[in-house]
Amino acid sequence: MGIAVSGVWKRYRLRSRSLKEALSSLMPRRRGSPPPRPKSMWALEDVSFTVEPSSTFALVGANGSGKSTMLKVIAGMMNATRGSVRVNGRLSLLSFLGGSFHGDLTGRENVFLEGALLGLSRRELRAKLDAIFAFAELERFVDVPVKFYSAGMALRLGFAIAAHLEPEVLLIDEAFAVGDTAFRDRCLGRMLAFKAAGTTMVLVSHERYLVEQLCDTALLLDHGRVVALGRPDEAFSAYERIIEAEEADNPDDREGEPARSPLDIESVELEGGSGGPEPLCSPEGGLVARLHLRARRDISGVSVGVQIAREWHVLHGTRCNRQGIELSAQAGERLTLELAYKPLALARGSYAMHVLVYDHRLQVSPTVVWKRAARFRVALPESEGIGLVRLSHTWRLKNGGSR
Amino acid sequence: MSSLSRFRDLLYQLILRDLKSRYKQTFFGALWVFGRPLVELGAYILVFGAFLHAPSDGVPYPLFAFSGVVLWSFVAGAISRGSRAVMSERGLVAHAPFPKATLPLAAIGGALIDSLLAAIMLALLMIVQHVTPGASAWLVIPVFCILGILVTGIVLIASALNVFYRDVSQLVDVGVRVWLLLTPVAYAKSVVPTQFKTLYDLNPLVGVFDLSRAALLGTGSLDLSVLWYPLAVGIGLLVLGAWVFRMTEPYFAESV
Repeated sequence: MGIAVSGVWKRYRLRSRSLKEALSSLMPRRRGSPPPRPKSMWALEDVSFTVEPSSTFALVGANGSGKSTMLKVIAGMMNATRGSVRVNGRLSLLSFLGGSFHGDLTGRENVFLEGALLGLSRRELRAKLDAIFAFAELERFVDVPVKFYSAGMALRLGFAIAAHLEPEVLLIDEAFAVGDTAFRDRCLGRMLAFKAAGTTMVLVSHERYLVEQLCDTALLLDHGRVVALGRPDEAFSAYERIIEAEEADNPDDREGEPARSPLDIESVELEGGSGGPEPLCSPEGGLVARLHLRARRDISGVSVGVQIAREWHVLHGTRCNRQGIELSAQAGERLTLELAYKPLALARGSYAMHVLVYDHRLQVSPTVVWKRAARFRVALPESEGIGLVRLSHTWRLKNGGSR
Repeated sequence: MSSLSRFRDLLYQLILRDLKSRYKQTFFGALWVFGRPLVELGAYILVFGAFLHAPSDGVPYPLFAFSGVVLWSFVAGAISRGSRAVMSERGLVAHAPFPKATLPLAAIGGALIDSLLAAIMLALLMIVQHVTPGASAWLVIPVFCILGILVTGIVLIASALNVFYRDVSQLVDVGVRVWLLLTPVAYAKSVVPTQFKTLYDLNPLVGVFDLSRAALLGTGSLDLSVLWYPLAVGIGLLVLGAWVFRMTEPYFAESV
C-alpha cells in the first residue's frame, strides 16, 4: 500500500501550441528574428522517495516548487518525463474539491457527479448522502442550487464527499486550507481517522503545525529539487532557511510611506545572543534590541513599535507609547531606543523583528514598517514541547502511580 | 469498485448533469429538446421544400426532411459538443484523476438522447401523415450504431487534439457545416449530377442516410451492402480515435 518514487524528472512545455506555430517551426527561422523564448522548464528534477505503507508523508515547499506536480505524477494524471512511480493500493487525490459542481444544480444533484469523479458508486453515495451533508453542515441546503452557496460552503461540501471515501492511498493537495475553524477541526479529525485506519497519506501543505502533528516524514522541494527529506521539523527548518536566504537578497524591505515618515530607522542592533547577523538567543538570556533612529524633521509625540514574527505570524507586538515614551526631537537629531525582552518566552526556531513608526501615539496604522529589520534564533531543549510560544509550566503527579 | 463500473457510473452522472443543467432556468424547460429540431425543420420546409422544391423521393417533404434532421442532429450535436468536451472541463482535467474519455463520450450520449427524443416526434409526424413504417424499420438501429461508431471516432480525435491545438474546434465547426451541405439531409441524393456521384459517395453518411430513409419511409431499394463502406470508415476512425486519445491523455493535465 506504499508509494515508491524513483528518479522522477518532469518537464513542462511553457508555450501553448497552435497550428501556426507548429507549421512555422517547420520553416527555417528568418535571420534577425528574435530567438525563441524558453520552450520548457523542469518542474521536478531527480526526485526519489518512498512512502511506507500506513504512514503519512508531507510535501513542503514554496509555490512553484513542484509539490502539486509530484502529486499529479503519483496520481497517474501525468507521465514523468524520466523515472518511475509505483503505487500499491486504491488511490484517491483530493484537489480542486467541488470542481465539477454546476451552479444550476442542487447540492444533492452535484454530490453524485463529484462522488463519481472521486470513485464512489451511486449506491454508496445514496447511502452516505445524509452523512455527507451532515459533515458539511449543509443539511438545510441539500436542495438549493450550488450557485447560491458561498465559496466556503461549496468547498465544505467537496471535502465532505471526499471524507466519505475509503481509499488505501490518499493524496491531499491543500484541500482543506479553507473553511472556518470548526470545519478545519473536523477535517483534521477525519484525517486522523484515515491515519488510524491505516491509510497511506501524502499531503501538500504550508501549515507547519498541521504537518508536524500529522506526518511521519516530510520532503522539502525547492525549484523541483529535493532539499531535505526527514522529520517534519527538520524539513521546515530547512524551508525557513530557504525563505531567509531569499529575504536576505532583499534586505531593505520597507513598506508604507518612508518620505512622510517622521523618523529614519538607521539600524537595529541585537544584544544578548551569540552575535552575528542572526544571533542565537536563549530564553533565560533574553534579548535586547537597540533601535537607532534619526528625526527627519522637528517631531513630537512620535511612537515606535516592534513586532516579533515567525513566518507570517506576528507573535508579539508592542509600541513605546504604551510604556509612556513619546519621541520628540529636532530635525536631524539622533535617538536610540532600547527594548528588552526577558525572559524571551519563544519556542525553538528562527524569528524576524519588524520595526514600525507611528506619527502620533493615537495613530492606529504605522506610517512606515521595516519588515525583518533584524533576525534572531532561539535555542531550546526539545523537551520544552511544541508550538509558537514557550509558556513556563510545571507538571506534577498528584494522585496514584504508587506501583 | 472496478474501473469499468467506475467508468460507467461517471459517464452516467456526466450525461445526467448535462441533461439536468441544460434546461434549468429556461422558461420552456425540456420543451427545447423538441423546439430546436422543429425550428430547424421549419426552415428546411420553407427553403428547400417551398422555395427550391427539392426532390424528396416521393414522400411528403416535411417527413423526408425531418428524418434527415433526426439523424443529422445526432451527428452534428455529438461532434460539435464532443470536440470541446475535454477543454470545457479544463479545471477538472487539470486537477482530478479520472478517465478523461468519459467527457467526449458523455457529450455523444447527450446528443444521442436529444435525437432520440426528436425521433419520437418523427414517429408522431409519420402517424399524422399516415405513413406506416415498413417491416425493415428495425434497420434504423444498426444505422444509429454505425453513425455512433463514426461520430465517436471523430470526436475522440477532435477532443484530444483540441487540447493541444485550439484550431481543431474551429476546423470541426466549419467541417460540420460543409458536411451538412454534402449530406442528403434536406434534399434527396437524386439531385447530384452523375459526374459528381462517385465523389459524392465518398461521404460515408450518404449511404447511411439513404438506407435509413428507405427503411423507414419506403423510398427506394434496401441495399444493405451500402452500409459496409460507412462501417469500415467508422471502425477505422474509431480505432484511430481510441489510439490518439490514449496516447495524448497523459498530457491533458499539463496542456489544458
